[in-house]
Amino acid sequence: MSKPGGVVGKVTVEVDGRKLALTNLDKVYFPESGITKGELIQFYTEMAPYILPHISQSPFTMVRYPEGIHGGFFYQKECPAQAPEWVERYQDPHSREGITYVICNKLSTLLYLINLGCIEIHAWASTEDKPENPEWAVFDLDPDPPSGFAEALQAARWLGQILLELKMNFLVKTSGASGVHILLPIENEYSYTQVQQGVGGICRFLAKERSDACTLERSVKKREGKVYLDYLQNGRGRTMAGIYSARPTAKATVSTPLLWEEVMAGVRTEDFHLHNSKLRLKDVGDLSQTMRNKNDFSKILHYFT
Amino acid sequence: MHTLWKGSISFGLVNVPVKLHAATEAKEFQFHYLHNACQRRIRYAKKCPHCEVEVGPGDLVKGYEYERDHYVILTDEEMAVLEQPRKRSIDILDFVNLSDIDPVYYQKSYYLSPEDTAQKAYRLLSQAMLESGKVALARITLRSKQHLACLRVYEEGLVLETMYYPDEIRHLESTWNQVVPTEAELSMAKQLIESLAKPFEPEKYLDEVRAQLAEMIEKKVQGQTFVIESEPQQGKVLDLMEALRASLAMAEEKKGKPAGRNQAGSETVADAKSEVSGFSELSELNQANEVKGGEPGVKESSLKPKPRKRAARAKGA
Repeated sequence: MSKPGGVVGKVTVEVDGRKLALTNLDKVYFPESGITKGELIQFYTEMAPYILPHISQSPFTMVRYPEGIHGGFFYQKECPAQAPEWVERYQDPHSREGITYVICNKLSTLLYLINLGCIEIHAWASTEDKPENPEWAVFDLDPDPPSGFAEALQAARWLGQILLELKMNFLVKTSGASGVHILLPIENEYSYTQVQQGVGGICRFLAKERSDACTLERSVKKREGKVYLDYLQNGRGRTMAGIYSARPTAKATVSTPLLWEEVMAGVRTEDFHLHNSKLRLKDVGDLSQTMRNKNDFSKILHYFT
Repeated sequence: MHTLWKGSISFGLVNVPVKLHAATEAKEFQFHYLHNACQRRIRYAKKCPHCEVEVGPGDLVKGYEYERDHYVILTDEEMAVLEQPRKRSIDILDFVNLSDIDPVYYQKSYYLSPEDTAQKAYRLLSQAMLESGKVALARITLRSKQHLACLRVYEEGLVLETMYYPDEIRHLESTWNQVVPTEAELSMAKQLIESLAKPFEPEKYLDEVRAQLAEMIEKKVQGQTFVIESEPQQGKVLDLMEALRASLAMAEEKKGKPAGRNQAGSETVADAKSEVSGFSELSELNQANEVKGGEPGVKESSLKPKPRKRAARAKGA
């Protein structure tokens, strides 16, 4: 949708004292919602203070949608050669190809990435100084149709009960698509393999106790309309839509942290989108700050592996 | 397939004997009204409210209400004069392009299959129509009513679509043709259409309500009740927690309590019971502090609870 007073296609802005050219601002990225690239950039500018703390030390994977959400996308891990020198980089010593990742640690870099066509925030769970040890564990709850978000949220209630019983502190968020993510902040003292085993142990317990509703089946065809408890997301270099990440959906949904009361009462994915994220922050505060309170993962390893 | 009609396609000098079968069936559940007191089927009775008697088929005549409360009676004998002779043919009138016929004309589809003796003629006609890309407009008399119809090639055979006559199609009275969308709106709408455009795959579309109804009926036949959506099941959650506690206890039996922790497993169980229906962030933070109890000050900045709306509210509750 065009803005009153004419459409601005390209501007050079100063962010963090650096000059950044933003292009194609009037390109419609979300045709169903009429949201342009410019509006996406505005969203990320406003949300950056709440997004950056979670990703500022982690390698970033770009998922680029240069023509908007229906125009096809591609993954890009390698930092573009022509990126400004102020974009910080991390050369991953363990990747075979010697990938140099972007470290998205400031607003200017974030906007540079969005300008390249990134819609989502995809960063590692571990940081560049301790790349082998994730800072959070994730339960990725992915409903197999006809199950949907409501069923995924039910699985989140169960996992939440289990984590509460273990006196764990965690964050439940909508994936923004049809699923639910539970993030468990941990001390970065455990390997990805250990974290995967611990999360896998809890998922295995739930899949056994609630076999009518949950599955660990990796093959999509065999999931029988249940909620897939994906613990394999806990892996080095694996990324998923992060906290307050916009998603390439018709309604421009945002992966949004939920209050436990909301988890229990039920919400809808589409209740949380690009246009009301800022308002929600005012309303309920930044729930993602709970990620600062790290759990002792050894307890989960003790009980579940 | 059940044969509804037998006759022949007549087309110039060619005569192709065919049988007619219904091509579609509406899959709907048929319900019957029962008398709630005895749960038996009810019967509809025709009654004359003037004479207060029940009337049978022999007591009835057809009347047309030409003005209010005034009827002209048409007897079966009189009607028979107008009745079409039982024509057993599908008379082809013209050949036209299928795309020239708007779908609004179509009523119902029937398959035509050839009599055993006419297979070759049938193949010849259908192949010629296929290759010429035309469909035939025809007339057919079904159940004493004359229909306009379209005869066309479908899969391996011929399909006959009965059609409405032009005077049976109502006119659309539009009031919105004065409103003109802008170029930008149009191009955005077109972009959306393009992005959603797909080949037609009919197998993708299912009548979900009918499937649910079928399930409901089946379950009720088996004496079960039908629940359309599983709400949060509190009872089950408790079961889950019991299973969890048993599992934790078993792990403790095998491996002992978690090392380096200042809290016992049994305490965990007791404390968490009160937490089942909700938690406050403050207590989470306290728990996190508890866990870290052995190393005060080490990560204090990350543990210090930030005063927030939610914490305050939870505390007040």
